[in-house]
Amino acid sequence: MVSGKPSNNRTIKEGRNFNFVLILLCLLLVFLGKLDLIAIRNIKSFLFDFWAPVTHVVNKPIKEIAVILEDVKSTSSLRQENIKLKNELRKLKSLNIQSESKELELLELRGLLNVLPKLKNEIVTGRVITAPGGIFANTVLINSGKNFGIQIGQPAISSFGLVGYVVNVGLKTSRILLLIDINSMIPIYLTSSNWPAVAQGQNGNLLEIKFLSSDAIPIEGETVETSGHGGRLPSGINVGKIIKSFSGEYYIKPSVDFQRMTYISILTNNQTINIDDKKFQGFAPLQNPKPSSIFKGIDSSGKRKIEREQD
Amino acid sequence: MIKYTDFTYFFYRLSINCLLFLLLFFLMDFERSLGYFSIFNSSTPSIISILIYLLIRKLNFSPSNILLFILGILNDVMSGVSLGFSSMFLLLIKFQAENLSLLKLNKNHEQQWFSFTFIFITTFLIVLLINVTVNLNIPDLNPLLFHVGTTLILFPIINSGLDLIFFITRMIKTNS
Repeated sequence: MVSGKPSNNRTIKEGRNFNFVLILLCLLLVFLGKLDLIAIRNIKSFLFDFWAPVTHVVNKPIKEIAVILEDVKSTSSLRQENIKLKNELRKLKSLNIQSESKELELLELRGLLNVLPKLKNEIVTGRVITAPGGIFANTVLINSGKNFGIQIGQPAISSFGLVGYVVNVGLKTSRILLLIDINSMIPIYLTSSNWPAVAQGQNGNLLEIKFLSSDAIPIEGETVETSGHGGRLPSGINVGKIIKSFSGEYYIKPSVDFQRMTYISILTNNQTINIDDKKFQGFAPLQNPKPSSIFKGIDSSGKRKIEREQD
Repeated sequence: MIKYTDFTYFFYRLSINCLLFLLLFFLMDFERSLGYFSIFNSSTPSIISILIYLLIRKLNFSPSNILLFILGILNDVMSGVSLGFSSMFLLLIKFQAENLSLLKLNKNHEQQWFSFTFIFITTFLIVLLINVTVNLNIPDLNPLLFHVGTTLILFPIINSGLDLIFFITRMIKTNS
């Protein structure tokens, strides 16, 4: 027999009301979070700095099991993979010889045209401590933050190309918004057909091409790189390749395998634009072309540059 | 006779909820880390919603609202989602599991599965609608469908697993 326990009906009614109030509070938090308030950002940074080691410890054994399973799976196709790799090596050797001669030619031409030298990238590399993917967000956490000079907006890359950019920085951790996230928009240009556009994530495996001119006809398989428009990201970072869907629409398949990332590098010398600056005019890709700016695919007057192949 | 005062009852509930918090927190972390497996490349199933439903309907234990709220906030922080999404999802699951009297079908596994499917899908659709409104963009449907599908497939497996555990413990008790 129990005595002193609160009345069942009363507690159920109170609990229901409280549940409803909390749901409304969550709704309010969602919209407040969208305002990107500094206080909320700081609370988030503190919390993920605090919980990151716990998450890392919990994730570690599961990650190791996943790696072992992948290894076991790949052993069955070792022979086929070996043949494929030998073929790729042969192709790469011939490409290497060609690229060496082209590099020399390029350097000579750059010297003749007096092209401004590119800044040497300063890189900070961190280990990925959370699994990517989620139904509503695609972000990862790395174990370096303000202590290594990482700032919001800096681009994150891997050996295959662009991974995303930093959206939140804590003292010892940073959160990176992946290219495939629905909130990610990257100014790009199509390297072969030479058209500028914007790549937007869809929370899936492919990126949608937005703001592409109606005259543009993308080539299937052509490489997509960052254009550098808006000054947020440097130009020339590999994003992915164009693929055509069954419906005839073009998408970008990212070069990076987001599931197998272990380390991510942040370009820390990329100067991010201060949004509070009065002179700042937004991130629109083709806004106010400056003659001094060298944007790929756009000439000094802001028009599309057509490069004709020499016969 | 066990004499409860408001004070002791509060601490009894608090200790149970603290243990439950730890269990659910590690489960949420486990759920997120399932993303390392290639099979869950696009999205991971929502094991926590299955567990909350089973706690309420099968074990007649209702987790506290504050616990679910804090748990959701922590999950949002760690997964990078806007604050409030996970909390809202968990609280809605609890609200529906407790209050929808029409769906209190607990006679067999099929009825439980239908009831869970309705609760999970309606909750998921509400949260998705808010997400679309906030982002002004419709996300790719493949990961969403995969998330719903795997969760609904996992429900009867976890439910049967729980029954098996109960059966074994009952058997041990009767033998001893």
